[in-house]
Amino acid sequence: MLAFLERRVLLSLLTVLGVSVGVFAMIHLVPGDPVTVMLSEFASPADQQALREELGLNQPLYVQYWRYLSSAIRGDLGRSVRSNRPVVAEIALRFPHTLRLALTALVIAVTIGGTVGVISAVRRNTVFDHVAMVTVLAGLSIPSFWLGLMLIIVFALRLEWVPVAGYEGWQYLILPGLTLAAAPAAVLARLTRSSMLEVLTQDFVRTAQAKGLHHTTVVLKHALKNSLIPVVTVLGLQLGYLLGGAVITESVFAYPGVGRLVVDAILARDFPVVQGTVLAIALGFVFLNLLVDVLYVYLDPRVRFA
Amino acid sequence: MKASRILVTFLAVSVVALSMFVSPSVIGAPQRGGRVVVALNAGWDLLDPAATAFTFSREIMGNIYDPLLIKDPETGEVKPSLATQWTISQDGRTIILKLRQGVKFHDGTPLTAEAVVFSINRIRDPALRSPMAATILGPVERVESPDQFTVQISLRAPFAPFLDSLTEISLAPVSPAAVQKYGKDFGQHPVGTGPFMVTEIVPNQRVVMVRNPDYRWAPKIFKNGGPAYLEELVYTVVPEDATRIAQLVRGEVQVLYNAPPREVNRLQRNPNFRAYFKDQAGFPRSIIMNTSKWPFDDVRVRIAIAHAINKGEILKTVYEGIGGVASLPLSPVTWGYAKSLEQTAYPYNPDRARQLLAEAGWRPGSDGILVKDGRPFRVRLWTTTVAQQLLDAQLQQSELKAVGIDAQINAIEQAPYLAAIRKGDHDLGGMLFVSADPDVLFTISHSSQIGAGWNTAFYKNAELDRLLEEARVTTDPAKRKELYVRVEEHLNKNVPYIPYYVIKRAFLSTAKVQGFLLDVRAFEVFHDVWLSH
Repeated sequence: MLAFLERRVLLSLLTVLGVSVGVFAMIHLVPGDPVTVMLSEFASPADQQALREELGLNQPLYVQYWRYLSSAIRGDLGRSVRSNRPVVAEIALRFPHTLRLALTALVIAVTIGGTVGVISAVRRNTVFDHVAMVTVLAGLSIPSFWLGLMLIIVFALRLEWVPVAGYEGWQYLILPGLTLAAAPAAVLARLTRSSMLEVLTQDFVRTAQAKGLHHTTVVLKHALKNSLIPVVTVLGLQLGYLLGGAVITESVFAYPGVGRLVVDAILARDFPVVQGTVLAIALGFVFLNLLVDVLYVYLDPRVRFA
Repeated sequence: MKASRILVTFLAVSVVALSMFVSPSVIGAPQRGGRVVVALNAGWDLLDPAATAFTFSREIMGNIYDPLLIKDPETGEVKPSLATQWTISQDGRTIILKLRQGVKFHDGTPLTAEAVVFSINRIRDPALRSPMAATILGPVERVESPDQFTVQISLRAPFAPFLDSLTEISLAPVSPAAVQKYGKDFGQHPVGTGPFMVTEIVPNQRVVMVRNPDYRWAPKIFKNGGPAYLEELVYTVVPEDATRIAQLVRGEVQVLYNAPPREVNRLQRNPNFRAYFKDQAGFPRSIIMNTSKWPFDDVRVRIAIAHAINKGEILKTVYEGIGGVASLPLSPVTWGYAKSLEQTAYPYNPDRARQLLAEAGWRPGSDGILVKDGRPFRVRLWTTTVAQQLLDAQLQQSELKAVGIDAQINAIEQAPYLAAIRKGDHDLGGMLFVSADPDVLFTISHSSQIGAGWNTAFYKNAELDRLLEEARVTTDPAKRKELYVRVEEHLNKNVPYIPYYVIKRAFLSTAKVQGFLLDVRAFEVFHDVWLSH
């Protein structure tokens, strides 16, 4: 087990390092001189030179990368070209919001998706199963933009059960959480269903049933745990996607997350912010997957005793 | 019979009498307290008067800072604000301002002439690269403080628009102590003398302001001479139109700027909401043609394009009829607007456009796009990513296509867009410039304003330059007006810009918002605003 974990941690670190190289290279892969792209202002040669020196762009590439890496480790990701605030401050301001939204969406997705998946598997080919799978298809196909606005019209305007937009409390997470959860819930429902189906045909399930155990116990205690392994993997990936890809939901609900930050920064050519945010999202992604691996240890005894 | 009659009359009278006491929101005096949330459709950059030209920044800053002088929203007359008296010397080159005493910044430091000098010199400091410097400072040579409450500004030459510049928020005094303290970060920690103080800024998301309890120096044009009625004023950014409207309907937001025109028309009729309109003064929304780039250096091409644009269609489709068609490079409510020239604008006539282009040597290629000397008429139309402006650009693109011009749309975010058009990256673009003075024409068409100012058409004409320079130093209003008529005539004939839309700013508010008003630049003022129940 320890060896397994050690290997995973090492691989994670290497991944992060790889991402940092890619993120660093970004600024040089853009066509044209990065300084004139960033400082599209009517900048004097003196200003351009100053930025060039501040960013160390006149140094050889490996020196620049080393500078970038060592500052990043110390928590300095440069300053936003637009607002002049430290990039770390910009991200730190928004990351908690993104995390809150992503976790809300994940909880909703797991609850709805997992439940629907299990029931569909147990009641395979019934009306419930067919209806559920069609709904799942809808969940995957509906654009989140449209879904978000529909939810606002129905639940915020007509029924007035929840507020429209904002971020001052947990009620504000409901609609964006539902919007964001639609696609992951659909994916999880299908995956849980197929994984459960596979497990339910296994011998040990038949043994449990033969032992006379209650049907629910068989499903929930024995079958479910075993079917979770692929589901947990996908969960990790989904959460990573939720962390960085909630841009549309964030725009519809005016939610101050990291997705909007990175898109605004891309449109404004604010490179330090783009680099810093991409790195942060990648870090989050890698860390979550590491957590998933740790979870494996508890779910899959084969890993524990490897 | 008689008794019941008397009874009914008595009841009727008492109901009427009682209702007079029971409806405070109809008559009532302003009530203190409450919070107003304003939703904008896009963000701002910095709240530092010296460092920004963003329209939204100027609007928000109007609550945090006070200008030295102010223009009456009805008459346009210059009135006192932080400066209670002003005198201009005989030769027009020295301006003396007497400051109001007892004014304090939000950090408690006093407003003195030194603070004013400091603030004005900040804009002149080339290190700050102020985008407003070229526009509003003109030939300022020296700013001094002969005594604690007197500011003396010396100009190299008389500068007629200077009084108007003094009413701009860009020249509003900032706290020198705060600038020392925050340095580069002052834009995120603004400190002024205004009726509201900033307590929280989330960049591009929200600004939270609270009432300044010491505020006693409101200009007399406002009814409220003391601190603001509102407890809290919040600006938020909600990019999605539908969400913004939903928030207004639900009451999460009380004031809304730039609602889709269709919604404005719809909600106006609803008694729970109010709409406010004001024509925007200055340089109207116009198509920019970069005259330093082929083929826009050919005036025949420019005139042809002017004939190709259907301004009425744009007004109807993009702006749902709110606002007006622009015929001149000034909006009709701007002083100096030459009504007599309205008919000289090139009318919509695509056939004439094609004819002119043919005369200029353009022939249709195999794909319908015009070709001259082997080069197809393929250009890039720059625009911002704001929904309405994108729609606008798309309509223009189709109108240009109809005469054989292939315009590819390049949409980027506002901040880099503004920088790019000043630099000259564009072929075609769009621009407007809010101003209460016709000197805005200097800013957008004098050759010295290329790069440093806002001459984004890169237009150079010695005759025009001369007219604009003369208009700046002419203090006689009648003579000055005459010069601007000639300037407008020149611009209308040579069309470096094609003005097409006069903006009518529309604000929506809930019916509870009282005392809301729009100033001379159609910017919102919250000092007199209170909430009824």
